[in-house]
Amino acid sequence: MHPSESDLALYAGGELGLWGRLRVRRHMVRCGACYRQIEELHAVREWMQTQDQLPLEINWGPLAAELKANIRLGLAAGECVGPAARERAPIPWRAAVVLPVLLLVLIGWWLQSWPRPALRAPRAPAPATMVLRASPGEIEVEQNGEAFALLHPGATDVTFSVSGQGARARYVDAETGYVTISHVYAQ
Amino acid sequence: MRNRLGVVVFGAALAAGAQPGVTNPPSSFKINFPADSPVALVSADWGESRTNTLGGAVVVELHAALSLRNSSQGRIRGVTLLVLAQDVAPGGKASVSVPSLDIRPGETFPVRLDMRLLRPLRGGSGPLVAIDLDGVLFDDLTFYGPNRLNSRRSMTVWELEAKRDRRHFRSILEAQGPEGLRKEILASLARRDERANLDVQVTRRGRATAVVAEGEREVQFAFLRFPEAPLEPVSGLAHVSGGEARAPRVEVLNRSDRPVHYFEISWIIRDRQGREFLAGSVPALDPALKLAPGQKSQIFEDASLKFSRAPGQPVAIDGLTGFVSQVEFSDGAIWIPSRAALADPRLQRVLAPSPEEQRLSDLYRRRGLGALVSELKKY
Repeated sequence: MHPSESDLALYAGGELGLWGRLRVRRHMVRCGACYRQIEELHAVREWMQTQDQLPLEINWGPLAAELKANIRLGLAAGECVGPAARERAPIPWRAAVVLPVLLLVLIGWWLQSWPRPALRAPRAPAPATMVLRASPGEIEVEQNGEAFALLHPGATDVTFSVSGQGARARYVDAETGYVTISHVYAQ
Repeated sequence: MRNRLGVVVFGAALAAGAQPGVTNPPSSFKINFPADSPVALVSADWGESRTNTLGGAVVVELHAALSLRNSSQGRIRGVTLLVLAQDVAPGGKASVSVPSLDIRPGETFPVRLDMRLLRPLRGGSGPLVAIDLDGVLFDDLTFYGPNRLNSRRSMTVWELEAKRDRRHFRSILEAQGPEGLRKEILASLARRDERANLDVQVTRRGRATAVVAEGEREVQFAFLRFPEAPLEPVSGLAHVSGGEARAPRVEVLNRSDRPVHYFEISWIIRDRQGREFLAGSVPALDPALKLAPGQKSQIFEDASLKFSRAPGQPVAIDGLTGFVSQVEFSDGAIWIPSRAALADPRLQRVLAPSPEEQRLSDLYRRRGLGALVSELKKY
């Protein structure tokens, strides 16, 4: 059975509890669909961190799932601290003095001996999708809201061909009368 | 080494052409030709270029008419200009080639450049667009230029096609006279008019997370095999969903006696009504490819291609057919299909004519049979 969308979103954000994390990780190594979904969530998070504007092709579904999951988590945490505290038994004065001191010593020892977490090298941001378009009036490459097009105004007999590397248009130039071949590259 | 022949600042011209809402451009275009270039810039007219602001974006339209002179001793058959806009546009690399030329030493010829840049409105300095010379091909197939875009190969292919097609039309003229030539050219024009073009959108993802589309299926390529071709396509498939074909891959066998450095497989798509369209090509991308005789190699393209007859009218892909369209050997020699191979009726319906056949038929359409006959007798 697949983990819920909320669990995948929390896992991708590093906000899922220990057992949940182990469960999702174990599932992910066997399930390509969940793996891809987590990868996409990672990519969107990292991209957002490196940009000061929204990407053109945001998949809002996973983001919505992450937000909902975080809200649920917050509500659950609120419920934990919600009920009024019951009447407590009195604490002996010796314990009231010794316990905070002991706690301070323990925290000091822990801070000294615990290895610092290694700094994660920032991963390269995921480049956005590049789109090439070929139509009788122009060939264009577009990415991140920026575009570069070669036009053939007034051209006759336009033919074009495409590959993953670029788009090419061939036409008879209306002014020069020469066959002209324009090419935009997706590199 | 480079001598800036012309740094063209178009501020005044653009301001003159300004309309309400038109902003003055912050930068300039420049043209760089090497000092020993066989073509020289005579003039550049940027008169119709302009910029517009659209919300938070600026649109730059560049319309340039360049006049170039053949300053070499050879006859120029083709020129490729490299257009760079890398600071302001994705990829930012384009080229404009003019093949099928016959420019004698000292003659001038025009080249037009029309382009549009769309970018966020932000400050910046330096040229928006730089125009460099990528290569010049002469009638003896010698080449000059930095060849950053492999324009040597492209222009050599066009020139070989031009020689092949001129030979074909000359042989018809000799065997059947001017009326036979007219019939042949009219058949070529009719094929051009009947051939349907598709709008194509190619998507390249930044990482390998292509999401499998619903209903996607693997479609095996059928192949058109040319007995004379140095490569034989062995197998191939693409993932197809509706009007979209993703990640085409093709395996070929080198059956020639020479190592192959580069090749291209062109492919045709068939829709559910049985109509066929030329879809594009899958090139071999490995620059170090050296496919030895008897060996196999696989080419793969990590891209998704969406075909439509018009915006919002996707083509339902039903079948794929591939064929070897060009091969470059390690010694630089190039193979292209012969006219006999291209006479296959399926290919004739979908293939565009060569640039030279396009030019000759256009010449016939504009200036008549006499002009075509004298053109064929020139060289």
